[in-house]
Amino acid sequence: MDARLCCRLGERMRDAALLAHSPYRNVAGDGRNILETVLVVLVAALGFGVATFLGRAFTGSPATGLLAGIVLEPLVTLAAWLGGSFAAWLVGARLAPADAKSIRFWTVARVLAFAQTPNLAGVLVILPPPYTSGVWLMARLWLLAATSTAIRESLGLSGGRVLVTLAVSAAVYVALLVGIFSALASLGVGRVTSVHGIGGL
Amino acid sequence: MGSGFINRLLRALRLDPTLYREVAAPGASTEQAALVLILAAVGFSFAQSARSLVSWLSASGSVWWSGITTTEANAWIAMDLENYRVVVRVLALVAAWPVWAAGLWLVSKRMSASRGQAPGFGQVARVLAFAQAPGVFGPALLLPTTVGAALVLSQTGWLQAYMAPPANLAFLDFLVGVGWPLLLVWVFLGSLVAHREGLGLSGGQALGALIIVGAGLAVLLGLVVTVGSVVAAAVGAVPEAFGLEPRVPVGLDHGDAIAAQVAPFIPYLTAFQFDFNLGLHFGPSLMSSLGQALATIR
Repeated sequence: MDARLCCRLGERMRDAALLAHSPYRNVAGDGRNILETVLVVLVAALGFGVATFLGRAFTGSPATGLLAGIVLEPLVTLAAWLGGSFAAWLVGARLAPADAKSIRFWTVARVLAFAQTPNLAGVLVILPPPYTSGVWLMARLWLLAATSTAIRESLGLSGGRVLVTLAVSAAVYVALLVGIFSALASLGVGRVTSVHGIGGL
Repeated sequence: MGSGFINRLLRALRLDPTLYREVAAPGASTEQAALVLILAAVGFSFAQSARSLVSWLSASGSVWWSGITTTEANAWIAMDLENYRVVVRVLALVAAWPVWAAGLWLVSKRMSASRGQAPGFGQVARVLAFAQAPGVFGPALLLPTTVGAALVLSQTGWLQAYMAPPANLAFLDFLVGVGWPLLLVWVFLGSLVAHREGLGLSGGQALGALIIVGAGLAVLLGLVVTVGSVVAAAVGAVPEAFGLEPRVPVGLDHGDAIAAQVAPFIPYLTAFQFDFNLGLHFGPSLMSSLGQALATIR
C-alpha cells in the first residue's frame, strides 16, 4: 500500500468521523476493493482494542490484553460491521427510493466501514473514572451519528426511514459484538468484554 | 471548509449569528448537530462530576491520603458512582434534546405565525444542538484532578492516585465555582442568539420562548422524575437492571452497609437534574430523601 493511498484513507476517515457528507458519497461511488474497506474497520477497531490492551497491561496481564484487544477486538468488530451492514442493506434497500433499490451489499458495507472511524475515540476509555463510561458512551453515540450519515448518503434515505434502518443495523451490530465477546468469555478467553460494558475497564 | 464540523463548532463557540442561519437552512446536517449535542452532553456530565467530586472532597476535609483506608474505599465508591451517573446524565441530556426542540418548535411556530415563516422541527433541533457547544469545555473542570492522578499513577494505581490530587482543593473549588456558571451563561447566550438568528425571532421572543419551554419542561420533568423515583425506589432494581452490583465499603457496620446497598440507585434519580440550557434543577435533595425514606421502609 503506497503512501498516497494511506494519506487518502486517513483523510477520508477523518472527514467521515466529522460527519462530512462528501467522503460517504465518494466512497459509495468509487467501488474500490474490499481489502481497503476491511482495513478501515480493523484500524478503527484498534481504538477500543488499544484501550483493552493497556487496561490489561496495567493490571498485570498484558498477554490477555494483547489477545483481547489487538487480535480479538478488531476481528469481532469486523464481524459486527458485516452483520450491521447486511441488516442495513436488507432493510434500507427496501425502504430506498426506486433508483437506489438495486444497490449492492458491498457499496453499503463500504460506506458503513468509514462510519466505524469514531471507534478510534474508544482509546480514551483508558482514562480513569469518572471519564471511563462517559468516553465509552460518547464513542458509541458518535458511531451512531456517523452510521446515520452513512445510511442517509449510501441509500438516499431520509427522516424516519433512516431511523428505522439505523435501529435495525445498530441492533444487529451490538448483538453480534456483545454476543461474540460473551461467547468468547464463557469459553475462557479472559475477561475480554470489559470495555464494552458500562463502566469500562 | 465552511460547512466543516470543526469550523461550525468553533463558530458556535463564538456565537456567530451566521452559523445559526446556516444550520437552520433546509438540508443542513442533523447528524452534525447531534454530534455537537453528544460532545456537549458528555462535557456537561463531566463538569457535573467535577462539581460532585469537589463537594465530596470538601466535605471529607482532605485531598491527601496514603494507603487504603475506609475513607478511600468510600472515595472509590463515590468515583465509581460518578462513572455510572455520567452515563445516565448523557443519555438524559441526549433524550432531552427532541423534547426541548419540540417545545421550542411549538412556541416559536406560534410566535412567528404572524409573519408566515413558521420554522420546521429540524431547524429548531439543529440550532438548539449547536447552542449547547460550550459544553465541550466541561471536561476542563475535571482536568486538575485527572492531571494529579496521572502524576502519581506510576507508584500507586488509579484508586490512590486519583484521590490524591496534588492540586489545591481551593483551586479546584474555584475552578468549578467559576467554570460551571460560565458554561451555563455561555449556553444560555448561545441559545438566545441561536433562536433569534436561526428561527427569525426577535431577542425578546427568543428569551420568552426559552423561559416558557423551560418552565413547562420543569413541571413535566418534575412529575416524571417524582413518579420514576417512587417506582425505582420501591422496586430497587435500577442498579441490577444495568448489571451493577452495589458495593459495600470496607469497615462499615450493618446499618451503614444497608445504606451503602441503597446508595447506588439514588444517583440514578438525582442524575435527572437537568442542567440543560436554562440550568434547570429538579430537587436532587428531594429525590435522595424520598429514596432513603423508601429504603428505610423496605
